[in-house]
Amino acid sequence: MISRLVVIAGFLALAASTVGIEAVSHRAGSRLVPLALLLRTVLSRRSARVAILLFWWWVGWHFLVEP
Amino acid sequence: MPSNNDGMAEHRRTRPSVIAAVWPSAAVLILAGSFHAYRGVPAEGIVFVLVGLAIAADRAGWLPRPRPHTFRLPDPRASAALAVLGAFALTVLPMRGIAEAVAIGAVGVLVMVVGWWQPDRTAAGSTERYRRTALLWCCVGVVVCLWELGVFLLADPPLHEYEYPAGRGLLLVVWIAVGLALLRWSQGGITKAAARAGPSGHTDASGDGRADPDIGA
Repeated sequence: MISRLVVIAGFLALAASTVGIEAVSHRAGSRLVPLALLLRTVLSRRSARVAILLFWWWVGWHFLVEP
Repeated sequence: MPSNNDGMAEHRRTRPSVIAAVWPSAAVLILAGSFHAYRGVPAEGIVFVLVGLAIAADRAGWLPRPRPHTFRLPDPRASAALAVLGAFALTVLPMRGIAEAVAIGAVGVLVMVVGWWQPDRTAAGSTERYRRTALLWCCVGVVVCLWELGVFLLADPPLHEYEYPAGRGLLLVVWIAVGLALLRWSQGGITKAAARAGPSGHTDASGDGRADPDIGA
């Protein structure tokens, strides 16, 4: 079994990665675009929009309602 | 000379419908739905599979085209206020009760309706920066899913919602705010900070040389 500490450390590392990527994307001359701009493009299509919105809704359901 | 829409319609007609139905979004949702069924929550599995099948059918042209409707959404400031108010309303409901389930379920139905009926847009996104960023976020997403899968199979979840009821309100605020932001972005609205960091380095987020009227929406 993976220890609780390792699990939490993994999630924290992933969270830090996402913050880092987003921070890099906002720097002048960055080779990345900010997540909001990327999502603006991705969400322009119904298929991706509905899928992403479903995942967003599920996060709320999973953490707040699901027993 | 045929319009762009004519070209797309022609493309749609000549492309085998079954292949068109095998769309990544649909495949991901059906895969996720199957996993929900495996982990013992068949209702969620059914929702994911049904939405995945609906997307596949829509892509294949088997569903009637919805009449596009652009919904009026709250601006960022109003969204923040709405998120706080909505979170407060949800926190007064009994935790994991019927009322809470109905409220969150209704939010899901409402968001799906808005997302489905919203018209598709032509958006920027073909540049190398967009492709590179999309690939990077896809990698992050896959790693998150694999880590979550590993935790599910090999360990106990590190956090249970009932272990941190004090943070529940904050989670709700963030959840609602993110949902409203996704809906705004799907209509083309972005934050000023994101626009400044955009491809052209100023408020022309679409790259078409014109100021974007949705900036800050």
